[in-house]
Amino acid sequence: MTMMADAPGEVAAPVRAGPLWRATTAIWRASPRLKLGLTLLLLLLALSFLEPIITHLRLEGRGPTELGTFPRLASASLQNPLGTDVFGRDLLALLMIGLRFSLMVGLIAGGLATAVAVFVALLGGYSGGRIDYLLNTVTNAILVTPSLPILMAVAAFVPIDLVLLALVLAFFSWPLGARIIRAQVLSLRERPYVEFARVSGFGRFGIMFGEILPNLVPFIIVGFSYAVIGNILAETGLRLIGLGPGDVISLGLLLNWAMTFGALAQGRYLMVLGPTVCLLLIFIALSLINVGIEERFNPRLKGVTGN
Amino acid sequence: MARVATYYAARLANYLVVLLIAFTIVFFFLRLIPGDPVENYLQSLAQQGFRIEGSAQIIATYREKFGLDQPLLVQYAAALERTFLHLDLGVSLMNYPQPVESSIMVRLPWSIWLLGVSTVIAWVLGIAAGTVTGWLRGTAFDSVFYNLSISLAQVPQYLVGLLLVLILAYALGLFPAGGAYSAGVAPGLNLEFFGSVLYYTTLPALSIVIVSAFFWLLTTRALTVSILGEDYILFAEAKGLRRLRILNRYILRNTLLPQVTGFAVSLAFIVNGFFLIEWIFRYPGLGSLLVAAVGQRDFNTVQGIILLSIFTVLTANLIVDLIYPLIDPRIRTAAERA
Amino acid sequence: MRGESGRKGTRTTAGLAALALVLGACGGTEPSPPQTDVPGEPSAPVASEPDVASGGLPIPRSEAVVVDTDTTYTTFDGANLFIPEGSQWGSGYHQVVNEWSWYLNYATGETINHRIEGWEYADDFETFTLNVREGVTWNDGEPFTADDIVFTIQMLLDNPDLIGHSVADEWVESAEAEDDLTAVIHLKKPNPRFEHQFRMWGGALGQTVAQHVWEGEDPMTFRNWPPVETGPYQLQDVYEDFNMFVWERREDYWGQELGLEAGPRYVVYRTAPPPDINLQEVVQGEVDAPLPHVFPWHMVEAARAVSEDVVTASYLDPNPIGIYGFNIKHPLLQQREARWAVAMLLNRDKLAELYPAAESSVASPYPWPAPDWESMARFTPMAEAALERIEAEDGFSYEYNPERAAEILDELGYVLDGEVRVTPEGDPLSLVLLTRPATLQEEFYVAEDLAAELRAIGIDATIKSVDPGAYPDTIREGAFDIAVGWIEAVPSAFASDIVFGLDWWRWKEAEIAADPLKDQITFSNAELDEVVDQLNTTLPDDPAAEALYEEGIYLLMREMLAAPAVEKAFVQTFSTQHWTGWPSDEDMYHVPYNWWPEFTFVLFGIEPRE
Repeated sequence: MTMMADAPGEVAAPVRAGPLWRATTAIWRASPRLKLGLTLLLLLLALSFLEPIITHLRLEGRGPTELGTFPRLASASLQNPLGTDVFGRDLLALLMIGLRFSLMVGLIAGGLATAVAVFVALLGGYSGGRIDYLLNTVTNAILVTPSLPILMAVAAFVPIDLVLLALVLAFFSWPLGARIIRAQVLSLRERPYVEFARVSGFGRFGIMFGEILPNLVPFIIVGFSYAVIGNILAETGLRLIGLGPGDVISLGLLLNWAMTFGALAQGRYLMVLGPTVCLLLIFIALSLINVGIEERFNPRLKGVTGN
Repeated sequence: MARVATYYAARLANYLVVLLIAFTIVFFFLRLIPGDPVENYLQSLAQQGFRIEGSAQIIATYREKFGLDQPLLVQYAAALERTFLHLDLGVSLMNYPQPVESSIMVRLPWSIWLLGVSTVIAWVLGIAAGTVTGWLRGTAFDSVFYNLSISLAQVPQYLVGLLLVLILAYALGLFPAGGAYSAGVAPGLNLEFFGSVLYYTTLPALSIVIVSAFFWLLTTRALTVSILGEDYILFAEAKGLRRLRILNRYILRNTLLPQVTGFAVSLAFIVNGFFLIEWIFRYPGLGSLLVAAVGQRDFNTVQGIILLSIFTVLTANLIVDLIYPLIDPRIRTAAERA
Repeated sequence: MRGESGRKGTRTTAGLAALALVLGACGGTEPSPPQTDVPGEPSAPVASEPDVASGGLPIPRSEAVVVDTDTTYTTFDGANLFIPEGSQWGSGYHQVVNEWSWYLNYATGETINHRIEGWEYADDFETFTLNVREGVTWNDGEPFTADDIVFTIQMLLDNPDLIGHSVADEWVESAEAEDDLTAVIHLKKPNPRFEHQFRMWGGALGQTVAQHVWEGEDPMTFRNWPPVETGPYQLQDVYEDFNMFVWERREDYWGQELGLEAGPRYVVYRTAPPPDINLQEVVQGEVDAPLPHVFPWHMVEAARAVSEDVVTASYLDPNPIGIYGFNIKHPLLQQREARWAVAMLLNRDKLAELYPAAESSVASPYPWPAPDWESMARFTPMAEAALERIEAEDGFSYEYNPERAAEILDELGYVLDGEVRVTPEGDPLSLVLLTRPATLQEEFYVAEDLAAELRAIGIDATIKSVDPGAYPDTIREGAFDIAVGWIEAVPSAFASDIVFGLDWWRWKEAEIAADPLKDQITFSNAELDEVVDQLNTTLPDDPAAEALYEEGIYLLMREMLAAPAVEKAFVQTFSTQHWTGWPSDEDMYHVPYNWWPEFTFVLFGIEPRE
């Protein structure tokens, strides 16, 4: 976490309260790092969604998860750039499927988490008083609870399907974003234009969603990105141990398979490097997005990053 | 002063409330799990060839012993009372009748060692590096480290751990791939043992340090850079103060304080991934105990470990929050004014 | 300090060995420098240089056999077999310390009378007499007598919460020791197979405890640690930090009189490290007997490519994989013809090919493992005869034949409506296949394949993966249609007597309720009941039993309650760098599995490599 989490500092001159679209495009143009991160992420997403087509072309119509399509445990070749697994399935195809799943679970659970985070942070931060105290305490309580052990315990014995997984992941990843956003809400609500709106008779929710929310967009993105990081981290960690829905392929599961099959000792480094590199790229992309936004929107850093 | 006392009291009360809520969350999540540990154990026995007959009776008896046959809320109340009033973490289901505490106590030193060493080293390194890069902002040195941190600060530690194992342990054979010390060395207060421990701690610690240090680098650098942009620095430079003095008097003091708070806050996230690191490196700490307990559905042990980590994080935060006003005069005055 | 540079040297060597594996060249394996240990010292200095993988041993490597398990150890100080979590499976306790009264050598068909010399029945099979062997001793020196046997049975009768109480309560009226070597047990009802209680894995009744140790203790909490048993090894120490149990040879082991001499002075059981390290260790000879479950065929091949000192012995696991059971309450599946149809959709050749273990084969159609299990040999001709009879009478044969399967379904009234097969009422037919989670069982792919075959003939098949803990409930509730997994052949196989298997299929609902662990499918057939009841009062060697066995097998098989698809063989790997004389495919003198309690007999057969 960075300064943004705790310091209700000054925000740079707020974007004119208007459609969220304008806020969003302004953010896009804001920082090269942000652009790089977003581009990388979108590339990965695109790649994973193009997987069905790519796989269809490469495997000539055979299903990527069909057993025995290729010789088992084959080394890297033109046909199988990453080799095959113990059932004779092409690892590159599996990798792309895993990439898609890891991204989707992270993004969807992240979206859920952020929606909750925005609501909680806005409501608590703006209302203040008892409501804020209550919401803030609950936020902190979940924040200090380590999610991985609980996930492990649950996943080991409850047939975890995607919906349940996403829900549990979202449950543990919303507090961080809520904290970040709440800090901003606290400072924003003292702004003159908010005061003006209040005096003009706008209701609480009107102010929250009409005046404050558009200015929260950068922080919402940061919160979302942290949530996605947390989710993918948790889901991958869970799969690494071998838990979770076994018929759904994710990057963590591929790593687990590699480890269980003793890939390293047999020199099949690609089996491990493939998923690892994908994961690294995802985290780097998200990190870039975070840093990019903070460079632009954290006033203390603006203009002095020197990069 | 009364106001400061109120601040302290309020902070303490908040600490307890958060602790209670966290406890409740953990308890109910674990109870979501169907089946019970006794059935699980007997079943695994049966699968291995033992003939277990009349198991209904056995399961019923043990459910009663462990209080698993009570309605959920009754169990919750009992657990609350036991944990908070008697400070008793309960009985370990997989090591019945040993209490959870004894299982945890055996493993705790290793976890404290690994966690302590890594987090402190990462913190110190990260802050030092962050200050230096912030000071040298704009240079190539800064550029390299800044970009490196961006890439690595948010990567899961276990991923780094896997890569380290791959490169340093398997491919190059420079470090052991797991364990806490060599089985050929008898534990004791001797150099050989310490040497062995250090050697085996290197890779797991490195996994944590690499990610953590870069994270601290990022945040410290941001703080440093922002301070450097402040007017009073300009004034100090204009006054002719030597750079080292500026560094010491203004920058360090202003970055260290928030980073101490940050350290306490970040503990929660470090602890979360920490269990996996222990698992990857087969470290005989709480992480392995946790995985074993999960496998055996030993609710009490799992709960005990999670509660311990929550307690540690919360207490660290509490201590920092209580000490902070004493260190930072600005906060104290603000608290007095509030 | 010893070997500081030597340690580094080994690191480099280990690293080079890893590279060598990669390059496929003959890697260097470093022989362990010999070390002397001080007699009488509990922990001897390390013989092997700690390497990347194992970190060395607390006892001399050359005097130890190192065995892997995949269990995570949670109990480090218990040897009480009658309470949950009372002992640690996979610690070596069950293998080399605890013993049974008699064993069956499944590989040779031989009966091994171990602690007893034999048994007798009264004519009405209601009195069972055990003749204890003279000279058997516990590892604290005390003699093993009939009193211990009687004490154990009484203990089980008196304590309703102990594992084994229900069996004792059901069968035993009373027990007494006529003299030190004769235990007489009076049964409540006739049982001509009661001796199986004292056979390896026969049941808690046969887990005789030492009266002089257990008397006066509360069996519900007593730890029996260090374990007092009659086996050839006793506890040396527990190394919790390394998930390791080290057992030391008893120099006063009574079995030496019978020629049973344990080769290694120490036996180390430990949790297997991750596969990569495990492979290195096997190649370097750091572990003698890895566990097949985590050291499968492709790792064996990788090891053999680098080192000549790796040998294997593969043996068929008692449980074939295939269709474990059907939901007999399902309107379609309650007809045995339909079950035969589904069985004909198992493409066993392909499945055996694909099974991730080289030594697997197409399953024999009888619900027990065939070729390797010499002890089951007498039943094979009976099963063959049954199959012929079924083919003659019904026209069903146990082969992959999807067209015939579709035909059968048509005949039953489940015809194709376009692409979809419908029930006689016109609803689309769908079936749910039940498995354990894919990451836990390698049989998942069988379910996938079967589902594909079902879909190919128009049935909508879905796979439901359920956690092992929830498996029994799911079966009991009938929340499935076809269960895919391991076919329960253990009762027959371990007793090497078909009647146990036949009995297993006859469980009634009430019985299952009393034993919630049994993920049992209820089935009843009056004819089979009669046959089995008769068998249960006839000695297995009685000539009259022959016809009964044949009939029983025929009745069971025609019902097609379980369809075996793949026999899986566990490839038990051995390293010959330190010890030789392991069982091999050519000389399978005993079942080679390192996790079975009979592993002691393997240890009796090995000797140090010269």
